[in-house]
Amino acid sequence: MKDPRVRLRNPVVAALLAFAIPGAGHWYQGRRFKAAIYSVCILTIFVWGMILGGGQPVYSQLIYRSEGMAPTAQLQASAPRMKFSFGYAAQVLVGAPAWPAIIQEMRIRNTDARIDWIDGPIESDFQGLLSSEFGDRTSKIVTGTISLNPANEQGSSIATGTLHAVLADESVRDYSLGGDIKLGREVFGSPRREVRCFVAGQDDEGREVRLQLEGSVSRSFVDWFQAPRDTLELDRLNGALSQNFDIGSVFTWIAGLLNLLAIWDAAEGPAYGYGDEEEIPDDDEPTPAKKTD
Amino acid sequence: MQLAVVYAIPLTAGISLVYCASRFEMPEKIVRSAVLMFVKTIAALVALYLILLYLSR
Repeated sequence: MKDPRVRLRNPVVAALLAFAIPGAGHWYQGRRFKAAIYSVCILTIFVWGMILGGGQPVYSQLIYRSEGMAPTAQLQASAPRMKFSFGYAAQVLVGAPAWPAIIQEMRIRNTDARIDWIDGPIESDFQGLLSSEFGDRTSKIVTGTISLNPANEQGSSIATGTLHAVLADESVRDYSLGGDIKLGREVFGSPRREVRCFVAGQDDEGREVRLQLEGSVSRSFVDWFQAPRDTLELDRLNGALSQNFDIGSVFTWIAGLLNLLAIWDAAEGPAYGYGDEEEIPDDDEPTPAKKTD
Repeated sequence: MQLAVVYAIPLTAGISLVYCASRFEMPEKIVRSAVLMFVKTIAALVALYLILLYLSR
């Protein structure tokens, strides 16, 4: 309902601003009280959802592994098969806070993943498994710190480095790394980047053997924030955060849908009018019977 | 009562304020109708919670 007292200025500009940042369209129109309500309420619900969901409820695409030989979607060299996440249709309405998901999707689509290549040195914490390459394939759980370097400065498919490992029995050992490397995609919606390489070690009888290291190193924030992820990562999130991940996701959807009301209000004005109109009684209300003498 | 149930209170407050802000322009009218909507929604949620609690006994 358009009321002459409500100054909409340029409604298209206001709607676009409201879409970009909740409340910005109303601020532009000089409707400061409503701008404050929209920005505080919508952004608080969105940020709250992000916190509940471990910073990961927003993503535009779900990745499926389409390469039979690749153990996971992260370690797939060819372009991943992606499917739109319907939750993002609501989340994107919150505007700029959900736009990084589009940038991350473009980065995945436009970048060739070289999973058997290391560009530069990696220093990180590590968690994973150490197993013998042949024989009984017994595995040990390993945490610690890892240092990986390409065999030459321009990058290489061969990595060298060291692993300062803490084993499950709390014993500490240092291993030398060397040989072919597999490194998960640079951009992927998980804070952990998968890594596989070989380790020179000794078996229980002291003989030199080659061990295989499978695990993950940390991925930089700009490479995982709002990036497409696979169902394995969603399983990990549900396991780690339980119901909070789902609640956080719903909160971000609600924030986006609420901003739709704000965009509409910026373009068309308040739906029921200014608010000081006389209330019209419902037709259903019984009218008092007239007294007849 | 699980902590997640308590999330409904600030969430309802936020939704009520945004919804009523999109209906009216006058600040007093927005706040008054948002408070009314908040109270009605919380009452409905409490009633639903009590019904489900009774049925799950």
